[in-house]
Amino acid sequence: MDPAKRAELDKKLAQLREFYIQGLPAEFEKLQDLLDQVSPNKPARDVISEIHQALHKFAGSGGSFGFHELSIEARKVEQELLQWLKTEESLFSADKLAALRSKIDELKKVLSVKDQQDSELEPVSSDANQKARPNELSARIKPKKNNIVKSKRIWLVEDNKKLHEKLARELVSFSFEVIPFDSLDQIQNQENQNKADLILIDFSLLQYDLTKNSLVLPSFITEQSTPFLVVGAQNDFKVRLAVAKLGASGYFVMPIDIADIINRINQIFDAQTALPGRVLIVDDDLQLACHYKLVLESAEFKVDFVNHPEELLPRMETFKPELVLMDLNMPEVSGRDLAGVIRQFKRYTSLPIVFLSAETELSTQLDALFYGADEFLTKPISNDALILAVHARIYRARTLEALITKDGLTGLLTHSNIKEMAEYELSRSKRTAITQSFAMLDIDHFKSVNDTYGHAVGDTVIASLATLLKQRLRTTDLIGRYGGEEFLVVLPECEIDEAVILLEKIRILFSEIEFHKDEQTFSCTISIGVASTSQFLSCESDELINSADQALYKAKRSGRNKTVMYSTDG
Amino acid sequence: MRELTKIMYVEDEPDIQAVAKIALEAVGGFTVCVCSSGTEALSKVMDFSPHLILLDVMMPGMDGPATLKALKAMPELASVPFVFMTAKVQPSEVQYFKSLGAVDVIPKPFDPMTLSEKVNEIWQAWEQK
Repeated sequence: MDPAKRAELDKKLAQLREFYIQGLPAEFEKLQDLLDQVSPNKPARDVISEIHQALHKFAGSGGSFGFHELSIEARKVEQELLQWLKTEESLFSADKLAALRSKIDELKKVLSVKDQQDSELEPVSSDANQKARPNELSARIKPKKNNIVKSKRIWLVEDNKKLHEKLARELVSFSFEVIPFDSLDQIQNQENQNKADLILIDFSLLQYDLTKNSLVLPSFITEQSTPFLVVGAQNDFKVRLAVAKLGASGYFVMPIDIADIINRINQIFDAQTALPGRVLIVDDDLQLACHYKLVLESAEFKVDFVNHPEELLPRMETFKPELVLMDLNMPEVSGRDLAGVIRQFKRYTSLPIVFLSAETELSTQLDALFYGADEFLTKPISNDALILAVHARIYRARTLEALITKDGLTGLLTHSNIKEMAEYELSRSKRTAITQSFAMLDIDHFKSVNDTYGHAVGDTVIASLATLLKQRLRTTDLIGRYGGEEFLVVLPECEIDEAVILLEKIRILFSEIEFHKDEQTFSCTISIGVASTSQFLSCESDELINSADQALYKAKRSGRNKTVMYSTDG
Repeated sequence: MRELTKIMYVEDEPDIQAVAKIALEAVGGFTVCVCSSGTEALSKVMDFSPHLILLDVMMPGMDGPATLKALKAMPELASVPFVFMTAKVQPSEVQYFKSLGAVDVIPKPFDPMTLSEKVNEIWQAWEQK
């Protein structure tokens, strides 16, 4: 399978797994409800049989979504219940009930352990002592469902009042928290009160150090290594070079294209919250492997290692490394040949392979390059150099993967993906009988934006709407680019009036964003149609999409820039 | 040997349906017709004319064995192998499922990455018989 397909597939499977995890608390609640119906004093065959079925389901599904232990443990309990069901008894004894209760509690634990392993992957948890207890399971997972992206704090350092106001307004409309300053000194005075996630600073406010012949930042910024962006009036090489030297994450020339800045800011924040990279070390020297592991783990990588070449492939299946770090010279098999084996699998074509070797001989290294090596690091290597090399490789591999799997312009699901996911969401909502809403959004008069300002500006408008949607919607909502300027949003567990309120906010925020082309300023509006499962006795996703579409056209016909609810009376 | 391309999959759980669909379509490259019940399978089987049918055992209404029985009664499906997918994999149970006319049993939970491979193996064994 080629890497693009493979990446797409992994993404789909990960999404299914996410859905499965989200559904688990409800499944366990159902199981608990059934369990509560069992009493030693009344006939229990029917309920036990239902519990058996529920466990059977866990046993059969868990492993397919990575919950192998859940499958195994559920199987055991299920088999015991089956034995009992085979007898003629009708009363489920108090002893048996107590045992069953504790086993089901154990099952939940399996899940919460798994849940914790997953949360270890997430950016540093604030409270390490907060161990998940089984009965907290649903509480632990549920808040995630309504996890609206926490707003990031930006220090805006700009003395031009007009520009300052404009930037602040736009940033706020994209849900960032803005702390305004007119100079760097001003920050120093109220140091660290509200730590910044990012700093946006005017070039003219940077200080120039004559002795060093370069720009300097105050130490309180450099010490925190807060990412910063610079805006400036000059578009010449010297200025750009000076800004790059300073370590800025971006430079934006006035007049400011706000969408450009927002995109860059989002990229920076996305990279920060990304999961740690997974590195697989292959080395016959156990001690050395342990050392590299420790070094990389100190830099928050997730690391695993194999000592014997034949363990490599199975471990790659389970660990799914994003980079393989390999010794070039091992006694049994050479690293070069091992790289060759890895590259025999199409799905590992783009997996970075980095060699560590004492070898400085160019010909040996070149030879290995032919076998699919990406980079050589010469032993002994400093810890920092190792971390940097690994980090850079993984970062680049991820950037490439995102380019392959997502809609290039918006980073949203593509047409076919959103349709498929919508269908799946709907089948889930049918099962849980919880209302979900679909919304179709379309940018008003988009063609004239393209005609008047050019396609590049049109693309900025589309990307801005995508960014706004990503920021304003829950992480569990699905957002797809349905057509050129048309977006489909699926809102699980959302009543139609809640959906309308949410989308109205988005509509108003979007209309407040200013776009620029040369000296001209303009804004755009969107029309929105909403339909919800509660409006139908039963419906398929195509029907719901069509209904949202009908509502959208009603919004368009009745003057645009509004949200319209689907109604059956036309 | 005929090539296996069309698979009918009868399963009531949407989660499993979705993961199996991806496992068979994206990984295996098969054309898959998913049915949520035995009744649905009966109504769609003639139009779809699958090469192989995968059946969940435990389903509400018509369960896997009942569906198998009903499908087996159709003479047009004489050359179609049936495979059960189930979380029960005791040897005695496998024996029982085979006695119903299934050619093999795929244990659940399945690994989405290797499901297609397994199905292909079963198909090849069936074709070589």
